[in-house]
Parts: sequence; C-alpha cells; structure tokens
Amino acid sequence: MTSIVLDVRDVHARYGKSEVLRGVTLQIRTGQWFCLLGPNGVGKSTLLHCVAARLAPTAGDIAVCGHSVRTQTIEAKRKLGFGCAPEQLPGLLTGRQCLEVYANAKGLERIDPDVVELGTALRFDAYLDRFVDTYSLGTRQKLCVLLALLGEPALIVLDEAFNGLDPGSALVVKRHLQQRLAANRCGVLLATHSLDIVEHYADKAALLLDGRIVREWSDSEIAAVREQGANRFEELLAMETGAGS
Amino acid sequence: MLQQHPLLLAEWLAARNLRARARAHALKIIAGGGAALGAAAFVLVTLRQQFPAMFEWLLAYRVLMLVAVAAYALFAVGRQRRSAEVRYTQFWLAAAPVRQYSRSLAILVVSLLPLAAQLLAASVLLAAMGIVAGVAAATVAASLLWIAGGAAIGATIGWWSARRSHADALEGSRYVRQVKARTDTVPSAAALSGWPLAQVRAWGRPDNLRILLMVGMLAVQAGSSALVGLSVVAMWLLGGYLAGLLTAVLQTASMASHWLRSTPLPFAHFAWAVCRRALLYQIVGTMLAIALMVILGSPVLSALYVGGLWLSIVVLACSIGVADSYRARRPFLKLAVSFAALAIVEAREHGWSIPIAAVLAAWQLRAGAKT
Repeated sequence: MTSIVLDVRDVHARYGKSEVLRGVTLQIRTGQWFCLLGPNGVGKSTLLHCVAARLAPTAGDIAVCGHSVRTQTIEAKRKLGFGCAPEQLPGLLTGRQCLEVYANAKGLERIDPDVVELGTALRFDAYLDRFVDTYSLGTRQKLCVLLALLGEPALIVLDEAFNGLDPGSALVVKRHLQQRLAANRCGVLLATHSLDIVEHYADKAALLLDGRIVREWSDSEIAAVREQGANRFEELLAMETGAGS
Repeated sequence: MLQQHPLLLAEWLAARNLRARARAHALKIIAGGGAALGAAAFVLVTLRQQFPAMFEWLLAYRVLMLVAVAAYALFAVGRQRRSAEVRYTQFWLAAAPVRQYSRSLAILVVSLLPLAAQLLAASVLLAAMGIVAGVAAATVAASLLWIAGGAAIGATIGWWSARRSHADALEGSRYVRQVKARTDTVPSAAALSGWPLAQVRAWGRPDNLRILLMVGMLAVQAGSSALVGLSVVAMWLLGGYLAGLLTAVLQTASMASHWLRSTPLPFAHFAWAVCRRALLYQIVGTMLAIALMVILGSPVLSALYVGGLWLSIVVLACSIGVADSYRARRPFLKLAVSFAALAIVEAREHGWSIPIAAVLAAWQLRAGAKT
C-alpha cells in the first residue's frame, strides 16, 4: 500500500521582495520517483529548500509523511533525507566524520549497512579518511548522496545530485534509488535538467515555470513520450518553456 | 582607461554593483554608519585628554612606529599580492587574452587598495584626535608622515618580496592534523567539536603566524629579561590563538547549522557539540594567560579578573553565535550591541559586566532552545 510522503499545498516563497514560488502544489507517494523540471531560476531549488525546512514558505504548507514542516519540524526532518549542495560540505572534516556527524544529528544508533554498501559500490571507501576539501566535485557529490540516504528516510530530496558524477557512479546511485523505491521504502524528489532520468526512471514529472507548476506528466504519459522517439521530451520541454522558439 | 584593462574593469563593475545593491539597504547603512560615527565621537571626546601624550609618545618612538607600520604594510601587501595572483589564475577571465602588463596593474591596484584605505582611515582618525585634543597641526602632520613613510617602505618591500608568486591552490586542511584511518563508522558528534580547533589550525599557517610573532617581538621592551621577553611573545601568540578560536566557533557554528539544517538535530545537542572542546581550550588557555600575566608582574587578582572577563566574553559570544546560527540568523549586530553594552557597564562599574554577560548568554541559549 502506498502512502503520501510529501504533500505540498499552495506554497509561496520569496527572497526579499522577489516572489519565487507562487502557489506550488504537488504530492509524492511511497515508491514514486518525482522529477522536478524547469529552466534555471524558476524556483526548483527554492522549493526543495522549503521541503527541507531550510527556508520558511510565506504561505501554504508542506507535510512530510503527514508531519507539517512548519509546525512539526523535527518529526518531518526525521523522515527526510536531503542531499545538500556539494559546496556546503565542511572542508575540514573527513568523509567518515561527515557521515558520523550527520548520523548523530539524525539520532541514529549506527550507519545503515546499505549506505556503507553503496559507498563501497561508489568506490568512496578510499576517500573516507581524507578531508572533504581535497575531494573533486564528483566525490563530494557521492558524499552528499550518501548523507541523504542515512537513516532510512521516507522522502529523499536531491538537487541536481547527478551533476559531476561519472556515468558508472550515476548508474549505481540510480539503481540503488530504484531498489529503495521498488521495496516501497521511500519516495524521491529530484530537481534535474537530466531528461534521460525523466524518460527512464521517473514515475512522475512536473515542469515549474515562474514559480508555478504548469505541466505534469504521469508514468504513462512519460512512457508515451519515450515511445515517440529520442529527444522528444527535449522538444516538448523547449515548447513548454518557449526556449528556441 | 578601464576598457583596456579587463581585470580592473571587472573589479570596478563588481564594486559599482555592490554599491548599487547597498542602496536597497540605504536606511540601515546610514543608521549603522551614524551609530558608528556617534560611538567614535563619544570615544574621542571621552579620551581626548590622553591624546596629547599619545602624540608625544608616537613622535618620541617614531623610528619604532615606522618599523612597526612598515612590518605591517610588508605583510599586508605581500599577502594581498599572493592572494591576488592566485585569484587571477582562477578568475572567470583567466582564459581571456589579457596582457601581462594589464594583469600586473590589476594585481598592483588590488594589493595596494586595502592598505591605502587603512592609511586614509588612520589619517582621518589621527586628524580627528588632534582636533578634539587641540594638538598642534605640525605634530599631527609629523606623526602622519612617519606612518605614511613606514607604509610606503613596507608596501614596496612587501610587493617586491612577494614577486615570486607561488600559486597557493592547496586546501586549508594541509595544516590540520591528519585523521587516523579507521575501519568503523559510528554516529558521533565528536568531529563537530573538533571542527573549530581544526579551523584555527588551518588559519594558523606560517604566513599568518609570522605577523603575530613579529608584533609580539616588537612588543618586548628593550632591556627586558629573557623570561619577560618570552612571556610577552607567548602572551601575544596565546591571545591570537584564543581570539582565533572564538572566531572559529562563530564561523563553524554558522557553517555547521547551514549544513545540518535539514536534520532533526536539537539545539542543546548542536550547541554543546560545537562549543564543548573550544570552551575547554579557552579555559585552559585563559589559565595559561593568567599565569603569564602574573609572570609579567600583574597582581594575581587583576590577572584573575581579566581572565574572568575574557571567559565571560567567550561564553556570551558563543551563546549568541550558536543560538543565532541555529535560528538561521546573522549574529554580528547582536554581538556588537552586546559587547558595546558590556563595555559601557564595565566602564561605569568594574566587575558588573561578568554577571551581565552570564545573564545575556543564558537568555540567548534559552531563545535557541525554544526554536
């Protein structure tokens, strides 16, 4: 049985005088991979920051597994795995220390074995005892993904998590996420520009434009677009966003 | 002219845009600037009787002052040049066909501007001090000339000594003690406690330490015994370390709260993890400083009092820093207001600032815990 892991209702958010989100509504269920698409600067990261309680919406509400991010913040955060931006990782800690601190912050008794396994599969073990400021972008990205997966989160929120990852590592992460989704262990919200992920992995996708969701694609609609041939999604998005017209 | 120097043009546009952005906060800036000017005027008027003696002292020790200013300028310009060289190798215009002459000009301007601004500020301050204290204009001008001379000599040597740029692209962790490789990964906040200490070590690179060492050595009076001389230098190094550690706590609290904001980490846990080891080091360091002050001839009670005052400042700053960082706020204004309040209380009644700092710290921690 699936349940709603993320419920975003009419969320508005602003930075100073500029209103970035203007009434976003979406839902994600357990086992669902939801891709958030949109041109640069339309508010994808802002929405993700609102979901992770890093930014307070000016209106509307967000619930993670039924816990309001605004009023039951701690409970909501317990269910959340947020992949921070690679540049936010602390340079003077080692990868292992980052995992330990993050797990401690989430109140975990131990590091999840499947996260350790994923680290090995990503060939991250060799970097565990090195300082983060010696990492390349891809290695930092791997650490961000591992941190997001700690503590069996019911909702995994990732912002451009495949940027900088080599194709092999990206495939490992995608398969790992698919396994979690297939076992109904979580839902995934991914902000991305990578249309191959939408075409081959997403169960649902939405296009964010000017702070609003202007178009959604269900699983069957994505499959239909995929069957229309290569680059069809790209053309569709270009039409929707008015790019290249 | 700027059109022919793309690096300088980029710097100029960035500065101009910053000024344009600042216009949106014009009221805050005017209010802040007005308050700072008011505070400076208050301090100048309050201390005006001390200024004539200070100008006399400056001229009596003019050679020493020239050497001290030159040493400061030497390190400041050298550091600015090295960082500008590194910066321009990674600049967004690094791949553009900028002529070597134009690049050197940009590095020269960027290296000298901060020192020139500091020299201007010092000149304005000295002139204001001379005016409020009624010091002869010739005396003020002579002091300014010696300072400017020292700055010019130091800047020239600093620019020359840093001419062989070493592209310093290595990371800050190279000065931090290596972490032993382990096989187990266990949830723990221990690394969070060690982060401020690691940050101070990263800042304590030889380029920075040598300035502190130089100032400490210049502070030793002629004819002092070896023990006193070493104690003075140790005092400067220790003071620098403790001040750096306090700054590191504030910085790491901000960075850690940003990084861990999406986790359910409770405030008490966060504050304790960030401050625990730094506070322990502050206590041990303050005890050492008290011992050094006693060696240097300070009465024990005075030394204990200064140590207590420093620790109360540390506790207050850490409380404000961790509480505001956890609440995603910037602590700097609150820190400035709190320190100003403590200074006023301390000026009126010795010793009262310590309990007031404790109350303010408890209040801040309570506010953080209620978040």
